Amino acid sequence: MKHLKTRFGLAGLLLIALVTGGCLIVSGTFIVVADFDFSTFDQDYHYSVDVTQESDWQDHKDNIDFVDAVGFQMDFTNNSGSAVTFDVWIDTAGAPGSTPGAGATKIIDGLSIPATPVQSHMSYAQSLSYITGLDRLKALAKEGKFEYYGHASVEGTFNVDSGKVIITVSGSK
Amino acid sequence: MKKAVLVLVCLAVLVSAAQAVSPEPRFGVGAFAGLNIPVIQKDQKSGTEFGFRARIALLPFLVAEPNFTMVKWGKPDAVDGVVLGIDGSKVTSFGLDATLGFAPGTKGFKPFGIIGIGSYKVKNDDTKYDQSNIGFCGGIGFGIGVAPKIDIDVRGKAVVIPQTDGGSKKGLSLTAGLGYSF
Repeated sequence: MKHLKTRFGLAGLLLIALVTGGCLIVSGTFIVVADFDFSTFDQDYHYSVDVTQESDWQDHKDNIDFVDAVGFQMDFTNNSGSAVTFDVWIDTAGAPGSTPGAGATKIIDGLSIPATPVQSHMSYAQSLSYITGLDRLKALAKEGKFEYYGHASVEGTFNVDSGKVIITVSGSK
Repeated sequence: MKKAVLVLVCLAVLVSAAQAVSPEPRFGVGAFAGLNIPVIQKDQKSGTEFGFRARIALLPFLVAEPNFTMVKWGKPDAVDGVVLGIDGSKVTSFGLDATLGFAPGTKGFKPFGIIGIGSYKVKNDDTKYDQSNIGFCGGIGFGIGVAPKIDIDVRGKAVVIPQTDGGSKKGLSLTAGLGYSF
């Protein structure tokens, strides 16, 4: 019985030490979602992404260690009668102009938007398979702000109806 | 190659120690499966876990357990109306646990505490997340000796896997399994 108590006591102390240590390192993975509000110029789309005012970002902004993933959700209307190609670039927040400059990084190259159905949707999961330049995208996303530029192969009969950016971050306290 | 040699040396030392000081039974093998619950991870949900372990009784109350575990976390819930549509991550680990309590291979109810260390690979093919790091675990469990050399093993562990750039992935492992001692 004495040995049993000793063993339980030791095991309990070990568990308390581990749990306490874990509590001191309160970290987690969180997802921040922000809507786009594009400015449209003929075939070009521009948005200054800023997630820093989102509540989830505000809660963890001082302790963001790593960006696990960045993706987009977008809805399109294509009345052109044929597939439209859509490209996306990103650049540092505050980069001048409504079209991508020399310092911009292309992250979606040649996304094909079909003519049927007229309205189509690119999910977050689908966007992850299209994105390139991931390192730069994650680096800019970690700042919470970046410039987003889109370019469609046609104008007038094609429109980006809506978009969201979804950023998964890991942070600790 | 160096890591493999180091692991084999450690196992040889453990086996020698067991033979030197521990009463029968000294060795065992087991398989387990159960639930793994990610902790403070909005991009995952609960998933399944299974694995295999060896057991080396170093002392009457101290057992070393080299182990291999595979975890598959579940698809995350929608966030702010966005259906993420991605799979949960997979976690693969090679670890060494130590149980402090009653040794396996004897009849009766046998509680024990657990601490461990391991190499954990967390990977998600959808988000292209892929990190391997040293992680730690701790918990409690109990064995029920149903026959002279056969135990039912139930345990719960908290696992903390530090990430390369800071923070950590954490999970709560709840498993049941069978062990055979010889």
